[in-house]
Amino acid sequence: MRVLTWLLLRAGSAAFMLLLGSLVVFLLMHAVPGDAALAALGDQASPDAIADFRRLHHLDDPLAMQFLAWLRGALRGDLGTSISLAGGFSTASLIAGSLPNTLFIGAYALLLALAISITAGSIAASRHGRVEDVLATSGAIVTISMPDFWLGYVLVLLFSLELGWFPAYGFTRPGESFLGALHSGFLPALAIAVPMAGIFSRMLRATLLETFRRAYVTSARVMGFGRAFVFWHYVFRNALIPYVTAIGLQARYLLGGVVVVERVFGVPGIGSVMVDGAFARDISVVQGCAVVFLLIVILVNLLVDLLCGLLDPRTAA
Amino acid sequence: MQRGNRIECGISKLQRSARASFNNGKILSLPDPERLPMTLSRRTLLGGATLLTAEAGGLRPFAAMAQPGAAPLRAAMTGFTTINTLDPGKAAINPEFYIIWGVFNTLVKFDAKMNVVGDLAESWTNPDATTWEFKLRQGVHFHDGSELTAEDVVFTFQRIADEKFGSPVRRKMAPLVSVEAVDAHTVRMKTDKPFAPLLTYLTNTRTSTQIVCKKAVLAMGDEQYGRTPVGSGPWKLTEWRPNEKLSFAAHTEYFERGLPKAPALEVMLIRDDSSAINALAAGGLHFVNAVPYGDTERVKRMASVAFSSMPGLNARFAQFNIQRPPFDDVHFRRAVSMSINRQAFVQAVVFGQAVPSQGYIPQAISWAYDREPRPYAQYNPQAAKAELAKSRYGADVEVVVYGMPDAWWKRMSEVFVDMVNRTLGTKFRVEFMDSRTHFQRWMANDGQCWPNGWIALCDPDEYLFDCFHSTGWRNFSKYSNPQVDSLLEQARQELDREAKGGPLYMQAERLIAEDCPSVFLMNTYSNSAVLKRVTGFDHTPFDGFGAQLAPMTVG
Repeated sequence: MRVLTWLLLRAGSAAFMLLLGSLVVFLLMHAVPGDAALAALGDQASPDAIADFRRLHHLDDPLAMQFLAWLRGALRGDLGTSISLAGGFSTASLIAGSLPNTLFIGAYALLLALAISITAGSIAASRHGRVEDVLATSGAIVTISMPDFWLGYVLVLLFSLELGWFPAYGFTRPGESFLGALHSGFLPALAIAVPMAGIFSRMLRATLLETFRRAYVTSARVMGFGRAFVFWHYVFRNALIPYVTAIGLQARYLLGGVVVVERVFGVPGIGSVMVDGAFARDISVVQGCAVVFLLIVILVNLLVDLLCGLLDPRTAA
Repeated sequence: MQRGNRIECGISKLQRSARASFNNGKILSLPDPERLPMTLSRRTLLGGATLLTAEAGGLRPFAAMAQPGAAPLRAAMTGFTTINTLDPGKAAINPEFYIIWGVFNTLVKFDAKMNVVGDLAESWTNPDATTWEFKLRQGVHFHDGSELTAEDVVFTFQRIADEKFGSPVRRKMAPLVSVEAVDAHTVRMKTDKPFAPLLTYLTNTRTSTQIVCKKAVLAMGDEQYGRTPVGSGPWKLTEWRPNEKLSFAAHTEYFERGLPKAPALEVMLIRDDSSAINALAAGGLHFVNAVPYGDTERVKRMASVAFSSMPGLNARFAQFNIQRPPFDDVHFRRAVSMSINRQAFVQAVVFGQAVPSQGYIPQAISWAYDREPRPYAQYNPQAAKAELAKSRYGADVEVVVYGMPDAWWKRMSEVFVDMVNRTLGTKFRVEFMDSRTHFQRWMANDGQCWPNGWIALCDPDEYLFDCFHSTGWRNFSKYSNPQVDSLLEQARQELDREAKGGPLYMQAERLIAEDCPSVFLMNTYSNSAVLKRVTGFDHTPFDGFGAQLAPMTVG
């Protein structure tokens, strides 16, 4: 019963968040100067052409009516049709064509960042104060300070133009060829992963070092367990909790924060659709993307809450 | 380069196997064009070889295809990703037309020197000053196989004129009062008054007068036609991935024999122009339609790339709000105009890749381009200060210039303001806003000064009548000079354009230059880059894009 109430509450607040979020986005899009007619007509936007465009696309209807029309459609699963970004294409099709790419590159980058940071963080912590540690920590500082688009260009220069290992531009969708996606997605994923790995490995190193100093680690060493055994069984597992939290926080950035990298490598992602949609003042596209972002964030939060509840013995009961 | 060798290996290998299978009397089945790989890397090269047979819409024995260089062409459109429609009657922005030029044909077109020559029309005559008769070419087929006749032409123009359809060029084409089919291959047009720019508005540029297929439009409806256009041009659309790329197959029944040369075409929509240059350098692209001014030196140094540059069809200027202080004073406007060292300006803003200008009409429209120096559009610090002294306003007047923050546009506003301040000791400053907001404010005449530009206008009438006639729709600041108005009206009615129309436009522009409603700054270059192993590229001042790609072959 308590679980049911909790679920209903969560669902209710999620629905409220979605409604509020889409309303805010709708009003913001109307508050910025410039409108879809100007975007679609460009410098051919004569007053007559603008008037025709606005009439054909119901842009002169009262705001409340426009929002209600959108809401009515959204409730039936129809997110509307683009008018000034990709005229005539449904918002749903634009999202369906781009969201999987973003999720793929995000997951790819996250895996690379995990692999790099676990290796670098562990080495740095276990070789505390030695050359390896200095190299890893200064490497992390450098990677954190690098802007990701700049890193993207450097990777293109090195791995595409000099070595010819990866394509300089363009992305093969995972649905067409998974290997092709792994290959063409490697550089963009790496460009996103490297600064993230810097953050993760610093985090991991710090928590590992802190755990090393714990009394139970010392007593384990005193009891005669080997260095490696103590590291894996006593230190590493305990240090993972803050590390995982940090990953959760970064995961949200992967949704929309990587537009610049998507641009450099030509990955057709949802972030680019939303940004281009905003520039084109295509309200239904921006609204649709915003709803998808909101849904994902709500789901991720729910997942994190559930996981925390399960992991923490104090709340598990 | 190694990459190139690999491609050739792949091709000849495929050709051998293809010939072998043809010799066995087999007809190769055709790959789905939707599966064309997007990137050209070592891995996809092997797959890319199958593209040789990409020929959507029908089977064809390989022998016809197995000619050297029968590889798909991959081009990039940079700076834009937005395409809202491929229906010529509805299209407005450049990227839409870049594609439309390759999918459709018009009655007439420009040659490389911007002379009007026939396209769908074999010849045309003026029985009188308001009547135009076009003789259509026979045997022109649309992508659906149907034949193009005078009925399609009539339908095209009726559609544009229909208010319910809402074409952006409805008003521009309003002088055209009737279009009728005399017979299946003759079209007669009538204008209300003699209307000289008509021919320009029938060329394959940003005109919306590309001939649509009546049968297809009626069958699928306007909305759908914009997404799955049926034209008569060299390229037949096979797939459109919004915001990403468009794929085309060659139109095998195209009326110009031997065109298009490549069996298939992919156009990538690339927002970030430097990324397009990288892809070109890596061999993943064959053609990039615009090279950013900051990248030209790098592109010129690339061994595998041919760079091409020429003054384009555009005008770059700083427009004044002549209704508000201080630019309501002609002396103040002249002072500003004469304080700009245009040669240095061009160096600083686009690294020398522009012609300093003293008018709107670009030199590519040679018959209306005036070479005579215009004093108020020349750098002259002494005279500038003298004009300032004559003005009602002093150097301390407050002026905010509205600039656009993108790429070289940002430098354009900054250098402009800096040059004026240095020469006149004024306190101009720039405020940046995104280009749409900028354009909206300019249209509403909300502000004092807007460095901006017009691109892809092809007729002097668009540069002068639209921008400076008191009724011109691009005349946002309500400039009005009865003498200019009357000259422009005369020029519009003068059908002998080169001999008589040209001097009228020059005379009008000279008067405008004296009034300085706008500071004429420069006419920027159009830059293209193409791989050296690609042949058949012909650079024109008007960007032909889709049409330009038809004679290109990947070697």
